[in-house]
Amino acid sequence: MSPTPPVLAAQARASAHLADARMAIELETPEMTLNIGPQHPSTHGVFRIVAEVDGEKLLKADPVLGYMHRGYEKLAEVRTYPQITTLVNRIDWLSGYCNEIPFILGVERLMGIEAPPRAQYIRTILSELARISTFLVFLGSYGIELGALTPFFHTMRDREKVLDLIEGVTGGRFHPNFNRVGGVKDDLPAGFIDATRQVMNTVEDICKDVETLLFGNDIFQQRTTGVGLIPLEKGLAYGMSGANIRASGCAVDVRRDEPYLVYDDLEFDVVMDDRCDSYARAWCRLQETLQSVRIVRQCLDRLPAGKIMAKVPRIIQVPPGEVYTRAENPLGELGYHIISRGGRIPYRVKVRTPSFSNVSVLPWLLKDVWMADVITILGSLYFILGDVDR
Amino acid sequence: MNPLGLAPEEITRVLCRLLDEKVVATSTAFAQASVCVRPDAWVEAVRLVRDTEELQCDFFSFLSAVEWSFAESEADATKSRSEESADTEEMESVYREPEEACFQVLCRLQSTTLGHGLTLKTSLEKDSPRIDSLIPVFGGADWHEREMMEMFGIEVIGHPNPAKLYLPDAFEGHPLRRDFKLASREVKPWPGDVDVEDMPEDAPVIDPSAQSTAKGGVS
Amino acid sequence: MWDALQAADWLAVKLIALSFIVLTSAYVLGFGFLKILAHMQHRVGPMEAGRYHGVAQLMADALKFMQKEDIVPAKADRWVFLLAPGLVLGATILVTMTIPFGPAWDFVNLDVQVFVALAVSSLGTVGVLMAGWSSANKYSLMGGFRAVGQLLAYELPLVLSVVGVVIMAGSMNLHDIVMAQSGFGLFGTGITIPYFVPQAVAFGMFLIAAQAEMSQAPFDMPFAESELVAGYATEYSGFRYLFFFLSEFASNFAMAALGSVLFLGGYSYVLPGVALADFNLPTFWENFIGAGILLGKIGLLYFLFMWARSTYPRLREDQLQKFAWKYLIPVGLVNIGVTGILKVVA
Repeated sequence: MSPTPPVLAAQARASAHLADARMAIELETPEMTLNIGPQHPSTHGVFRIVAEVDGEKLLKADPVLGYMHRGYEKLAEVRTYPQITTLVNRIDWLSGYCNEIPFILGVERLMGIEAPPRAQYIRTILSELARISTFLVFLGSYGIELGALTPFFHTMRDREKVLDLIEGVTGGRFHPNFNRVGGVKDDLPAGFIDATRQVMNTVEDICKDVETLLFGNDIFQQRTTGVGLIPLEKGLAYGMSGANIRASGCAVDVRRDEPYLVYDDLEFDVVMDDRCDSYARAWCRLQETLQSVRIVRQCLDRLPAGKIMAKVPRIIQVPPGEVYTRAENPLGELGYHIISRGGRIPYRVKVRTPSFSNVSVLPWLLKDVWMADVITILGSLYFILGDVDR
Repeated sequence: MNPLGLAPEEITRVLCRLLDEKVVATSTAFAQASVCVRPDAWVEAVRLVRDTEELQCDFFSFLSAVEWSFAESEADATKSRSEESADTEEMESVYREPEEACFQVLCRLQSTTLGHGLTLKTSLEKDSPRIDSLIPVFGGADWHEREMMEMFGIEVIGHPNPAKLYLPDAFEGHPLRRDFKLASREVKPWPGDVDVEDMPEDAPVIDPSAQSTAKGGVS
Repeated sequence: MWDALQAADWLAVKLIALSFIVLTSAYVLGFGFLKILAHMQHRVGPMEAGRYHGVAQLMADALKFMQKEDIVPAKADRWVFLLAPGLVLGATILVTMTIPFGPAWDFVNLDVQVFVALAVSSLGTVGVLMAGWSSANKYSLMGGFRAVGQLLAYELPLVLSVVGVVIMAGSMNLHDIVMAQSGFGLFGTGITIPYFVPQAVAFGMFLIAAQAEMSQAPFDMPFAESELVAGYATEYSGFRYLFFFLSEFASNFAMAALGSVLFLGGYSYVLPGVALADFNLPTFWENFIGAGILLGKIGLLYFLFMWARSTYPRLREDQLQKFAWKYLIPVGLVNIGVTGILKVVA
């Protein structure tokens, strides 16, 4: 075969190039911009993602916040401390009780007050009950997001029993506003301990059911394994906390690292997983529910007798100071940076919500993923919009 | 509690050693370490806190700001305090406010391996507050800085996307500044503020004679 | 005179009967859907409307749908948008038409009836694509495309699973297939058994593919309420949405009926060794009882469909395609080969 003359080869190359270019023009397909939210069935409230979609692939996502911004930090500047307790209940509305804890602890720390042991135990029990109720919602609703309707009804049924317990103590199901500076409002009602023990058995049963029927399901595993990988360094740099970071292989838990309430005296495991994917995050929450059951049982065993309120002045006046208190909330680390300049009203309250940081990883995470996986990832991060927007 | 973690005093000491004259003030009040650095050392300080072997604060908790204002009503409470703590001024563990009006940027960092944490602060001048972006150090600073920008009007230098995060684009003003008043509160004072009962000693003294006549009138 | 009238109006009578069957079956199965799902999910389901366990609930729903405004989005392709639900329901009616309900109760009786049934069952896809495209809604569009991709991928396993049955029966006529099953003795014994035993692989494939054809969990991506709001039906309201709703259950009925006829012995097979024809009943009664037997089998299959629907999460689009092309279709081909060899050898 004779060698091709260079001129001809160049021409051939040029024409091939031209053909390629023509092909490229003909096959060019513009990406579609898709608005996911603010009113979308699975964004847990009014969350919006402006997504660039190419068929079933999502190329780029830009979360838009602020549809539920209620300005808690500004509102806190014109309210007295007890009034803010009511306010912060609404941050993460699924576990309202847990939101009160770090705030009250911060105020107590600034004032130099400590709640009596019985009050501390009651607070711990209620926190863990709120955690269980939140995680039961997660276990059910994550199924729904992946298309399995049935687990939701079963977990919601048992969550109702947990909420009944909380209601029995505090009078409120979601927003108890039960903490006072220096203690809690009321003692436990009669029969609470036995009822709680029973409900804890129920919770354990439903967790086992969910573990075998949902987590053991092939399709569930296929949908979640390896989806939404968050490496540890990335998660930490974005301030992710709670089960989200524990599923990336970092055994942090404020309850153990910086014990508050009575967690120091209790035995529980920090659930950890190093698979970094959606399945690991869901699995961590499931295991943490069981750990919470364990904590509640221990608290019930050890519940001391005694007063439920420390001696506290009638008007809460906080001396000048600045303190950051944090707690392990169901969604992650919730913290309040309280600055007081004396008086009944704080000078500034910075609310560090877990969901805000957890969600801030989304622009990085949602790149080149399947549309269906977007929902898997959003669900596995488990955020509450009130907690993102504050 | 993690036994490896440093005590607040040790944390401030380490940072003083590392940053030397760039540290403006330190505090260990309420057993929490906080270090105030010069604005030009802001990014460096955060990077050091993350990378130094002794500190290893790899968890970015939050970034926010506070506006210190010494308007008439707000100064009252603090004036008396600063006077009474004058003799113990040397002690680090006593809480002190900044001396002059400023914006203070706060950044909370925790260590997941050692368990301790600290708050880094820097004071910015009131008129045109500017600060360098932390995004090169912690990617998660992105949204926190956007929030700070719109809420306080602090300019973040080098932020890739300085758009508003929560507020509508057309929104004017910076809601978390002290001079931004809640409109509803201007119209009507907070009703909750008046239903707090007075302390017994603060209660207005009732004239006993007036009370007795009133009683007599009823009976 | 009666005969003349009958001959003249035969087509009209058939059409009326067909609509009646489709609507009634959609109603009954729709109600079954509410109740089965409710009890699976630890609920009681509708209890009020119609006094007895909410039997009139769907009637109330249908009335509600009809009262609602029939909204056509401003940018929609108007005529295509309006016609799509009708086409989907129409396709389902056509599938029902091919089902023999008794020895003499059928709407059509063709030599290639299986072929016709499968052909018209994919007609609804066009309607779904029309709905998705014409709605001028991105979610609808994605739902429509998903539906088409899925229905194309699962049409093939459906056909392949049926081929095994056709080979065994040696006919594509559904009556022949039904009768063949009443006479099929397992391993040469006299104990008759329908094809779901010798064709167990094909039966499994048929159930899976039918579930996908009906777009039910775990294959409900075209609707995927947590991803696509309501897929191709997002923009529909009022009685047009009702059409989609009806066609969903009507297609459930048609698929369950097809499965009963192909694998469970249709109207004839009762128990091992017992078939309807053995009793020598008058034709009318034979038809009547045969239809009853078929309905019982349909109910059984429908329950299986609903059971899967309430149990499984949803697959992802690519996993769905992989499942069809990588597993179902090769298995189907092997099944055909094995069936063919056995048929020739035996």
